[in-house]
Amino acid sequence: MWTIAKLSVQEMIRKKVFLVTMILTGIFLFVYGLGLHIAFKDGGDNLIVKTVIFTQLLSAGLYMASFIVAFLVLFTAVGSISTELENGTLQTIVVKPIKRWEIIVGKYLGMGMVIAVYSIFFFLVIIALNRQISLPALNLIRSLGIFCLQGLVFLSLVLLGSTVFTTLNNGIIMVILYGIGMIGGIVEQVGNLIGKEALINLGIVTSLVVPFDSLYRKMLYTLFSASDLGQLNLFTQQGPFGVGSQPSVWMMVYVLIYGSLALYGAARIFTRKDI
Amino acid sequence: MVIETYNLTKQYNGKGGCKEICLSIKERQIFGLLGPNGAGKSTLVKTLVGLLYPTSGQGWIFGYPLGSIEAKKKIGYLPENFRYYEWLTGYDLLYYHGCLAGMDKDVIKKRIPFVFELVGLEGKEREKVKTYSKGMQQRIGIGCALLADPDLLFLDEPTSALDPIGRKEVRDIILRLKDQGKTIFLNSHLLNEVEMICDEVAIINKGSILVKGTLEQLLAENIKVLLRIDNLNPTILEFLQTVDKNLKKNGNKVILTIGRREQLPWLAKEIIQLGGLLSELRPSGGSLEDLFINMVRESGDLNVDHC
Repeated sequence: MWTIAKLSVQEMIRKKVFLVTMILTGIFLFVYGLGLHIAFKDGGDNLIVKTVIFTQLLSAGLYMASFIVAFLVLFTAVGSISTELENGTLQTIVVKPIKRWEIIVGKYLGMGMVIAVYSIFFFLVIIALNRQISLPALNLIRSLGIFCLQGLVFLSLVLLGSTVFTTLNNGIIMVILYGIGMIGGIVEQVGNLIGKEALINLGIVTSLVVPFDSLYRKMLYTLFSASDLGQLNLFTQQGPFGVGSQPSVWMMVYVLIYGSLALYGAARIFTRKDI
Repeated sequence: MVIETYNLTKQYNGKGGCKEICLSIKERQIFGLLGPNGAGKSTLVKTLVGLLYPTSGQGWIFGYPLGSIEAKKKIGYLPENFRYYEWLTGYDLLYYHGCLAGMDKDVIKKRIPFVFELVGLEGKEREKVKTYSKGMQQRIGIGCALLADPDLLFLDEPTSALDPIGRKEVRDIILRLKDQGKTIFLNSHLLNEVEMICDEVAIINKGSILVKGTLEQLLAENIKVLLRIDNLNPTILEFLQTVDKNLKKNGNKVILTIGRREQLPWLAKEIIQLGGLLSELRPSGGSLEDLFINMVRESGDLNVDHC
């Protein structure tokens, strides 16, 4: 299992998509940092205005980071099983004296390690760029954990899809699912804003099917709760990237079960699959 | 027995694949599986190595159930449509396969140079697999199958991408492995190759084994015989037709097929006893090609060999 995990790390890092993602991440962070610099430099002395800018830009930065991490997961894991089944690479692996579930878990661990390191790096740089306001260390650590969880749960879903569908179909399905999750989250925010129960319920149902947006909202809420924003914390609740109502602890438990079941399903399907 | 199967069947929605395969393959031999395209050869091999789950029936490798970890420890496999991680170097690829096979790292490091030499790729260890030619990739594939020093090797079309020299080299490797006590299951459609190196052969068509046995046994059967009988008359011809009703006659020459080489003296004696002036009796050596074509043509939908 660890042999496969190690190879998955090497393979992921050697893929061009990883290099391209790294370069584009650098460009994104440069533009984002420049934007922050200009906003704070020319934002005037009004604390309220500055806080609004800070919360919105930080939220937007983390939202975009979640999105980029998800796409890194998608492009690196979408064919991790299906492509190797299609081109026959897995045939020589499966006949080795290892259990088939070890192949799935090994790939998950390898890719998961890279995704986790990338997520930590991305999160910390975004926080560092927003250093104008201090956030409690405990909040940072907790929200960093939830931020990493987004990529790791999505990875288990993409891996499951890769054992069931062809690479192309899996890619299309996962993009649509992720998109549904994003829209569902925004719909829920709008529902909160205008007090429309039906919209909130629609967002909740969407979160149960694709819970990644819930993770983002939970991460954001955890980051800002009890920060020295005081009453100005209200600003974090506004806008499409805000968090009107935080997902409950049970939602987090659900997400963990969701990710575990997806990984279990991938291992089980692969174990029973004719290759 | 190295491989034993009892009514082993793998079908796809009740169609294709292989059905009711009964094999008993002894150790230290080269077993050749022959069949036309789509006959079920690769399905049978994939079922034996544990890539496909049987629809019904059972099978064992060295007494262990097909697909079990114990059975997998005993085998090496070169797939027909092989592909390896092209971004790895040849050395890294073998090292990775050694780790997957559960080999000790020191053993892997000692064994890799030996395997590179065995498959004729010495000096190419540090080159990436993607820079290898098709033939070199086939050799590294054989190397991956051989690395863990398995007792049983499944080679699915191992020479398909090789030139004649490469084919001979691979044949030599296979023969050398047999000398080392290995059993080789060779899946090939190259009849002359099978004829040259295999001890036992099975012919498969439409998913069923049509015939199996040692090459000597199979080639000793269905021998074509040319007879020149100077006074060929209806009595002799009638007798000859009881031997082969599809015989061909051209003047005083007759070509017929007999079941066994041992029938030749009896045939000559009977002709002479009927007063025939037998001036020539020439058996043509039964070839695997003749046998293969006859068996496949005649097979139709009949399942010849059941347990």
